[in-house]
Amino acid sequence: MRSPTRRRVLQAAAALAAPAAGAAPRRPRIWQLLFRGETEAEQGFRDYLAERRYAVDLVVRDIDRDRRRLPGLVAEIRAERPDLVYTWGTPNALAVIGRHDAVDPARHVTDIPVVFAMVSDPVGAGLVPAWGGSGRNATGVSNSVPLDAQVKAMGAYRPLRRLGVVYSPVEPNSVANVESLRHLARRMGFETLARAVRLDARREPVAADVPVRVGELAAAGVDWIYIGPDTFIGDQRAALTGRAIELGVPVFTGTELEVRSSDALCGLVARYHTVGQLAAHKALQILQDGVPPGRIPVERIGSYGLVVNMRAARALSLYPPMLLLNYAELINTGG
Amino acid sequence: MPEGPTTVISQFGSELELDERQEAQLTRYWKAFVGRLFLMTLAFTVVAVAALSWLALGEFQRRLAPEFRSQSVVVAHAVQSQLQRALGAGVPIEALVGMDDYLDTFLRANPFISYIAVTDASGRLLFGRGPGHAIAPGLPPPAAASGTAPIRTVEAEGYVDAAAWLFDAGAAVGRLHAGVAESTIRQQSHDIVFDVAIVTLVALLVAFEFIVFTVAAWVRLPTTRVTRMLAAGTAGDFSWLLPGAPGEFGRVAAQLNAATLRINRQVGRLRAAVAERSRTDAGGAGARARAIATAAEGPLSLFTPAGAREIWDTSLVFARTPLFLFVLAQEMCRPFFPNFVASVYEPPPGLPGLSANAAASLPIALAMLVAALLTPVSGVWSDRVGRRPIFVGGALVAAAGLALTAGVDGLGALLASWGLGAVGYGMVFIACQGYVVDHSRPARRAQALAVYLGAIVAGDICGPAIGGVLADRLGWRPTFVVAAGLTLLGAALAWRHMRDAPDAGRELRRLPKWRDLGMLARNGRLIWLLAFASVPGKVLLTGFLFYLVPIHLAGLGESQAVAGRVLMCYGVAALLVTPLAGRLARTPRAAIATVGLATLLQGLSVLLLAWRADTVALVGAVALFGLAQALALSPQAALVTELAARESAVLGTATVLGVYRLVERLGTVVGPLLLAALLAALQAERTFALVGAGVVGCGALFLLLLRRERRSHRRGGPAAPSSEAAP
Repeated sequence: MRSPTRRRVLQAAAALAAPAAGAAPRRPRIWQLLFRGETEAEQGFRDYLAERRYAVDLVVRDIDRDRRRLPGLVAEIRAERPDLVYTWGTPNALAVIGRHDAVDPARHVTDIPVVFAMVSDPVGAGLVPAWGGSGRNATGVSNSVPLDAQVKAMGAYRPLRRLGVVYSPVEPNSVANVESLRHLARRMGFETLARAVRLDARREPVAADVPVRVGELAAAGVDWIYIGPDTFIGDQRAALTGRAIELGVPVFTGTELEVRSSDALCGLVARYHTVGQLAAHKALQILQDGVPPGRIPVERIGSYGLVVNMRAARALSLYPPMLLLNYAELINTGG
Repeated sequence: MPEGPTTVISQFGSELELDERQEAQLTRYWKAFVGRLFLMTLAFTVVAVAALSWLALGEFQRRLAPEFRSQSVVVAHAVQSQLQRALGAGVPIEALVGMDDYLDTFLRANPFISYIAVTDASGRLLFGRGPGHAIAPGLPPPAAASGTAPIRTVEAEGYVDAAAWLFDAGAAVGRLHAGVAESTIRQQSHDIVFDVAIVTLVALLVAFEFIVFTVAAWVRLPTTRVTRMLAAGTAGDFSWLLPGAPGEFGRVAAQLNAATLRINRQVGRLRAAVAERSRTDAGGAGARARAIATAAEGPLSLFTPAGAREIWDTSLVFARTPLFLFVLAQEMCRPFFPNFVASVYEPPPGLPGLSANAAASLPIALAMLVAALLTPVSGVWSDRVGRRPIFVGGALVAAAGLALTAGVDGLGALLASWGLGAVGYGMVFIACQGYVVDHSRPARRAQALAVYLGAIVAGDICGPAIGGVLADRLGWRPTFVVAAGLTLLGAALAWRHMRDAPDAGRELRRLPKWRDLGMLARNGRLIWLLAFASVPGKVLLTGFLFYLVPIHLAGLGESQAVAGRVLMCYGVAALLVTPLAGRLARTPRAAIATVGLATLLQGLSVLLLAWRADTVALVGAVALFGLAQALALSPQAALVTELAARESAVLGTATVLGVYRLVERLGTVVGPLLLAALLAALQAERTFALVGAGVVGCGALFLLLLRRERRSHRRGGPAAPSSEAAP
């Protein structure tokens, strides 16, 4: 902190010297705790460091969607004491640093800086009390896209008068999102029709109910069906988008998954690569400039990409307006 | 050289004024001198510009015209690549979405493009935007239906049409056309000719100003000083020394000064010797010495005990050129100022009703109000502080106002910066007026004032024209910056060259008192003049010329260059009429008739626009308006002293004129506000009709004063008591 410039020079020298000399100054060790293997976010993270010639030793641990592995890996981090921890996704972040109002120093990582990425709603998940500097020994990047930007994107594709949503009523995240959408609808002058998926006796959402709800919305004449941050709906994406296409209704999504790996027509998404780059920027602020993590803002990436699924567009005969083509990424164009 | 001393106690401290005849001779000489220089400049410039324009037009035809034509190819290329991307992504050509909005963005960004159209393979129109649709039919079939087809241009039906095939999955599915109208290209070349002509005219007038300035500073003034020195010496007055001067004049001055010093020294010694002799020898030798000395000396003046006096002199030109630059800068902003305001203005959310066009009247009115209120104050101020500090300070303030205006982002900031500029405006004008008064004898004051009017009219002509061209080519904000720069240049020239008379013996003005206003308010004929001639004229000047004309022209879709040329007609008409106007109004009755007719004409120029208000009609109206205003100007001033002769005797002419100007200027404040309100309520045509008819009515009412004058004349002259109401 006293002399960031000098430190940077030393680091750069270390980076240059590193391949040759094993005895060079110790490189910072970063542990990455991933959720479903390596994604473009990690690529973006490494690219950012490489562009700045900042050499680190990366140790990668992956839970492969199995949350039961988390306690053991967190214990390993506490024992190994790396210089910084990078986490992917909300469950991993929660396992490493805990809710801000329920930190257990015996279980969570408190004395090692943590940068979390791909947490859609860090405030809703309880990682931090508010956007901005958290005061914790952690900071992070959200991959969520502001709701009003998504609504505007829908309107730019085709006029939006009535918006349908199918959601799981047991996911607080999703319920909160529907509520925000209703507020926005009043402000921006459209109508929201939200349909909760039916729950079974164990209060689990019933997968077979999803196409039924889509049918209801289609019958009500919605212009778009919207998929928000909803894990259950995300899992049911194929069923939802498939039924929507049968009924001639386009699906819009705020996460990349549904537009890339199902038949959602369009999505305004935060690119994983950009999320990883911003996470690396925050890591560098901590390691190189010595900024306390609690003072580095928890934030969104601020620029988003529009993805249009041409396979869905052809199936619906609903093609993107020419002006939108200027900045959209077109996928599945092969006819 | 005439006999006898030429010493005259002058207005400005120098006792070395030449007599009338000599002065007139010299003036003629210098006029011829400057005139020849100017004629040469004129001849060479005109020939050079004509030749260059001719070459440039040829070059335009050869290079730029193809460039404009190729715009169709450039646009076709951009649209083609995006359409191919959409077709390649699987969008069928007839199902392209949002084509109108998409093509409109190209038409907006490329004003030369007349149309963009997409047809199917058989030539049936699928999508098309733009006024012209001259789609050339004969596009040869494509060699291969893949990749990007080559773009071909065809000239047909007055259009240059760029066309290309569109491919989808190995088949030619449609055609793209983008066209430029030949008439657009011709219009471009006409605009260039106009712009060249305007720039030439402005360059000539600026050149003339600087020739006059340079000759005055480097030739005329040093020459005049030497002449005066020699004239004084010839008359036996060796009490003067010349100030330093550059170059040859400096050497002449140094030698003359050395000679003068030697004469002073030697005569001084001689006088001392004579005095010594007469003191020591009271007898005949002393008397003889005195007699010899007296005979030898003649009428000889030497340095006073306080020392030598320096010949002090200056020229009116030193204020004229800075004033010209100042007016030029102010006028540059006229053709686009209301539209600039409208573009900056954002209606506050809670305050509907004030449209952008109406908001445009506010800064104009504010500036007029500031200038009107400041004029009496800065007049008093400049009498005490001096002309140069007020001029330079005013120009600096005005430059700051212009520079700040270039960066404003809202109506509030604009009002502040434009108001600041108006403070500078008021200071500069009053300083100039004072400068003329200080540096001219009363008998020659009208002539001296004409020098200033010349500078103002030249600025009126050049300013809008060059400002319009600059605004078109550079944009609004850079034009303000250029104007600020010119104002600074004026300030620098004034600082370097203007010199306040050391002891002007100025009549110190005072602020008008309420009592003066009361006294003048009882003069019915003066009120009559103000109400039915002066104020209506000023209302039209700011409301019609400064506000309505630029807004109306922008509404007609004209460029700012055109608006500048239209406004220029005002100055040109004024220039042509001014010499005539002085001759027309020699008697009070003639003055009344002239002012009344001029007011009628001003109203008529606006009234006629109610029937036809296109660009050509506006040119005529503005020219007629300028002519009528110039016609009224000097008779009006003469009438004030005439109609308020009694009050002038009590209060002084300066105070009466000051009060008159103050009231008259309130018309300039009302003008933009009134016309903006009418425009918002009635639309342009009815505004022209109502305002024009109103001013015609004013002129007619004013002419009634003639009848009363005739009666009072019969009763015993124009100075008859006139405290009761006018007819």
